[in-house]
Amino acid sequence: MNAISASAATKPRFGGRSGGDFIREYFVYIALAALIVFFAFASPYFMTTQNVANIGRQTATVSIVAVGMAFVIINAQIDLSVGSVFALCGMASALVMQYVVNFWLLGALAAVAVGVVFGFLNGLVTVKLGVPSFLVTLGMLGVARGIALLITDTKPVLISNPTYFQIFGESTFLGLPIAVIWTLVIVAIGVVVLHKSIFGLRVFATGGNPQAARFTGVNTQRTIISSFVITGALVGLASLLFTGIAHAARPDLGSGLELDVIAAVILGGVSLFGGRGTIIGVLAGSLIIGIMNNGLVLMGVSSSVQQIIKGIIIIAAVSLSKKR
Amino acid sequence: MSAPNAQSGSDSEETGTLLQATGLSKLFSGIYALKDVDFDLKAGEVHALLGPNGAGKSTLIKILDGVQPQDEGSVEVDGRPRTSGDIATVFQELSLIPALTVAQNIFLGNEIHNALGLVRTGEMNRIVKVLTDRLGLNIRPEEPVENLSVASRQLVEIAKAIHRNARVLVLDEPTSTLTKADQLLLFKSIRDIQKAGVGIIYVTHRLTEVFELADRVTVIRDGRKVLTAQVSDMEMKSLVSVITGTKTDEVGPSAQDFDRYVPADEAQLTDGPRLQVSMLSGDRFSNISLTVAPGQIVGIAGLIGTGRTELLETIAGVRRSSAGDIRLDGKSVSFKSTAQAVSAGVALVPEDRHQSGVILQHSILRNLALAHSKALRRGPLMDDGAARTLVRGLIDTLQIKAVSMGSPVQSLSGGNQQKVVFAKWMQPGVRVLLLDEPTQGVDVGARQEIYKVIHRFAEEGAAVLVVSSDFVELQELCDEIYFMTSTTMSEPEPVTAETTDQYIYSALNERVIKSHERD
Repeated sequence: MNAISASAATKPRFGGRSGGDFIREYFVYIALAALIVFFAFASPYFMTTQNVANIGRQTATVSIVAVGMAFVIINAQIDLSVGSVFALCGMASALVMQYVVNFWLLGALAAVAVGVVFGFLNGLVTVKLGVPSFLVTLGMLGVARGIALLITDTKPVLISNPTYFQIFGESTFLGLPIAVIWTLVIVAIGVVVLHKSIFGLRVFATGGNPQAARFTGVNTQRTIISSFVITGALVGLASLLFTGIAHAARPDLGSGLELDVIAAVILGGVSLFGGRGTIIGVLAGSLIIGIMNNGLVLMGVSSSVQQIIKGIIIIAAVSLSKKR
Repeated sequence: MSAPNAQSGSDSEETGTLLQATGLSKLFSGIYALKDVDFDLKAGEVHALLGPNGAGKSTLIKILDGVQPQDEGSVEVDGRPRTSGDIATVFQELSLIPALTVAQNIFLGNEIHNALGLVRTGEMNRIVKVLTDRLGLNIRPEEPVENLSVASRQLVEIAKAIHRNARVLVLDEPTSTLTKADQLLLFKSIRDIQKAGVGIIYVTHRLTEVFELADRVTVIRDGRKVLTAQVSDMEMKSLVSVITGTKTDEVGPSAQDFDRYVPADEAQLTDGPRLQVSMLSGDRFSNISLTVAPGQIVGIAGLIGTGRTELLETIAGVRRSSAGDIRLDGKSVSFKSTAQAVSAGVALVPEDRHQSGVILQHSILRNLALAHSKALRRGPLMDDGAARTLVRGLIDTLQIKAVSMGSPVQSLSGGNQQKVVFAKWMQPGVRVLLLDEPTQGVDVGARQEIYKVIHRFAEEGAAVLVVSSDFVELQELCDEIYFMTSTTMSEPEPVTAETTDQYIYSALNERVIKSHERD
């Protein structure tokens, strides 16, 4: 209907893309590179092997949960409960190994199962009762945290299973910390599922225009529920990587995780309105969050000031990546 | 087809020029969307603006309206440079606030208030009443806009523009969502507004309306003006050829594409009905029965709001029926979701293309891969190569004009967007094709191409059921027509040379009146 788009449709434009589009599309990678260069100059310790491994380990939680969150947000939904569910998943695996059987796989399954159940509930209530997922998961944030605090009367639970620590925490593979390997595996699976599978296509369609997706024969409710379940499962996995290092689960773990994860996903170029985004972008967004956390500590910035700087950088980055 | 309005035609020749645009050009990324276009409008004149989708009509309107600056040229109203408010556009997407009343909408942003800043609702209602009386509009100022029909909302938009002293009104496809009865109401109001000396620029794809309403016509193609003429000097056929840029004998409603088409042959018809609906009731309709054979194109003529869309959506599994039976090749079906309907081979081309037909911001490739995913899947994964091959084939077959299959659907013209919707269902296994206003907002040239596609579906044995407010379309497209009111469905009538749009209109009206008398 409109002449701008129609002329674009009939006459191929040279190069096809303006400079502004280019910056917007690759903004996250440019920002990531700039951040690395900045901290490399600001702190001599930043680029050491030891610290790079640390960054990888510390970023794993955010990256892995962000892969799931990407599915949810591309579906035009949101999950605010990931931080609390993270704590509950950690408690589940620790409790199972403490009181049921001290077997690493069972502990792992318990954590993932709790994540899946909460993801399923988030999705189910969202689509069946038609409550916006913002509210459903805001409520679930309280529910999951409350349960985590209640079951041990706010006490931490110790884990003493060396195999568990090896698989989820302390070992290395090909010279990389195991958490980094887990991150790479999940990102690779995420790329295939989101960008190469029929399910991924349905996720984009459901977020892009749910009604058109439905009219094309997509079961949008199932797509949405599945995305919450994927996020829940990944929250469970991420909790293992944390408790595998800490050798204990605490009911107050993961508070504020949802903010880091959502910031990573949006920085990574996923549209908050759904229908657009890439897993690789989300990984880059997670690295920005992780490197910022790490670099500011190295520079000796106090944790209160860190929060302020992080908040400002996120707002600036997101608005820069949108404008122009 | 009906004679031009000779009365207003002679009026406008006597009055002076109201709007004068000279040498307008507009560049987008180095390409002329509009090049050296002159346009003028006299007071009290209806000037139709025509052209294929993407020809530059919207750009011209936006420049006249002042929404976009021109790169070259000037726009004058009454001999002075245009000031904001001189020209008001009533867009296809209406800009009224549903929860506010008619008067509140008309006064939005410059409400009358007393010394305390409190709004004087009574005074506003009184002024609006005077205005609507003057324009002959039958609308209560206190009525919330959400209670009004689409046609009435447009009239409110028009009243709002005139209240704000617009000298020129731009109506952008005002009838695209109106029933015939509402159209007549709108046309009557347009004539009243003309008498008040307002100039009207009328953008449309429906040529019959040009002859019914307009004094002069301007055709734009590829950003250039190709014609301005008195409507009384034009014929339908020659106008079509100017718009599409083809020779006269190549196009037009009587073109060979339609002559070539013969109703589905006996052999196909004896297969038994493909789609059989018996005594079906649902949202806004009840006791509806109809039958469509494989290869047959059947039309439903009915007024908007009588449950036509709801009927199609019920068959397609979007809505549930409350009673009755739907049979597909003799087997009773009851779809709980569109997903089930689609996998059974029942496809719907919905009325609202942007909301329900396509995912605008996604590429053609992504839109079509989704619909064809059954054929393209390799286990849980999508075969990318096969998807590209398939989509390339569909773009060729349907002659979808796009830079590439990666272009977002929103970058295409309306006609090409609609072709993408049809391309979604060009797959084996589609047994029933339900079309809700299949060529709404589609230009003349693309419309012919879409008709060809519809015939192709029928030739391959699909049962096609068409709902359209454009009775010319029903006549051109269908083998049989049903007349529908919300509680009754006629016996099917075969479409012959006598089944003109006028005939369909009066036959439908008779039924509507009868069904009211029965109540």
